[in-house]
Amino acid sequence: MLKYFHKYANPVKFLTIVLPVRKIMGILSLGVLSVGLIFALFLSPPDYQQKETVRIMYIHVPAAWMSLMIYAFIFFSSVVFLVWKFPLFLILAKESVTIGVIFTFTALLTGSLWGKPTWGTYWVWDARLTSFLVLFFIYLGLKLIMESFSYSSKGDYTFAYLALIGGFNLPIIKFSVDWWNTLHQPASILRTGGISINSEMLIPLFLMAIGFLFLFIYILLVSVDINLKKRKIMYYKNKPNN
Amino acid sequence: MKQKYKRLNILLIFMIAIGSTIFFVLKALEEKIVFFYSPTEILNKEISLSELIRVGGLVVDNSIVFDSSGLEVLFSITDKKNILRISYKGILPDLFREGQGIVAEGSIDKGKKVFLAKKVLAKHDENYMPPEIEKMIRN
Amino acid sequence: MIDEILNFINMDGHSFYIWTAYFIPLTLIFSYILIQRSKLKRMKKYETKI
Repeated sequence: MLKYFHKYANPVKFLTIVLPVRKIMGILSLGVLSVGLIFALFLSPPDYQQKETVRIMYIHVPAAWMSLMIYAFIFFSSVVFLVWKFPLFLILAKESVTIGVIFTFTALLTGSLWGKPTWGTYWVWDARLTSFLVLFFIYLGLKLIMESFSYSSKGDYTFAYLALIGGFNLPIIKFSVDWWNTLHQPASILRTGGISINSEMLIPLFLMAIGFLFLFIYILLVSVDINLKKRKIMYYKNKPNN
Repeated sequence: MKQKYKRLNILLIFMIAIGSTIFFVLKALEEKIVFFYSPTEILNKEISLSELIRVGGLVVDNSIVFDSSGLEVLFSITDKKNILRISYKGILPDLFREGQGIVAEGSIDKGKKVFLAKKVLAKHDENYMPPEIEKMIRN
Repeated sequence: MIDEILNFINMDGHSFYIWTAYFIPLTLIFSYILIQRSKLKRMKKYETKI
């Protein structure tokens, strides 16, 4: 048991290097997000079809990007953990899950709030919406495993393997709109033929995306810090001659 | 060192096994995953009369006709190869108009002449722009 | 001035969808940050005791 906690000595070194980055990320994300919100709500023009409803896109699309990006991060961290056994990567993966849940929920909620006035329905079971809902359940599954096996190496491996299996959903989400016909529109940014969003609308979109990215790095580093401190406290509490 | 490569190999085999399973499952379910059929697919498919299906296409110009009560609407959609006539009673989405992509849910009548829609959804495309720019492009 | 503000809040009749889409996610994200920050503070206090 004690040996297990001792392996985490190295991550503490990681924290000292990363602490100044955390502060910068916290400040930058607040700044970028406030400017992004001003552009998203006031300065950007309405769309020719959706009118003001287009403003929902500036939170929906960045949140969806973040959900996918955070999952990709959990996936690669789990691979590194399983192959090289670096415990730090498992902590990084685990501490990303809650943020992933929040962003995935955001993407689903805002998408459905956009769907009602645009499509005429809050929800349909097309390939894009369904695969994204599956992503939400995978995140919840990871969260459940984390909570039910805390500090057991069996739980760590279950977590990492489930994270790997869930990784197959990422290309399905991305290409669902090309492989099958869906109600959801195809990609507007990463597509052959170039970006199909007007440049005035790209400003809030990218600002919000960058703001969310910085915010993710900030929360992740805070959460990792909490996790390591918790381990350290438990280690000293369990030490017999203390 | 050797241990590490062994673990990597096991992981790769694991991933390939799961990946191919998912691939074949999706391939088998292709028919079910597709959200709507095009008018051409409807004409070439065996569809029973009671079956609830969805069709999608662009609303044909000058094809929209409201009946005298203003509640029922007849219009045609096309995939640029074939045309399908749709009849619908209810509230249309705001984006419904000529040239717009729509998806209708309902059933086909005998002879595949008219599709009786229970629900009509507007399909948004991947283009986003302010009204002024759209006007410029149109002119 | 007041008309402009009311117009802005009304969002062309789609105020419910737009304001909910911004309010709920931002509340969720920032309350999670506040929770994590207070947890970190608590851990720091414990740590100095050891």
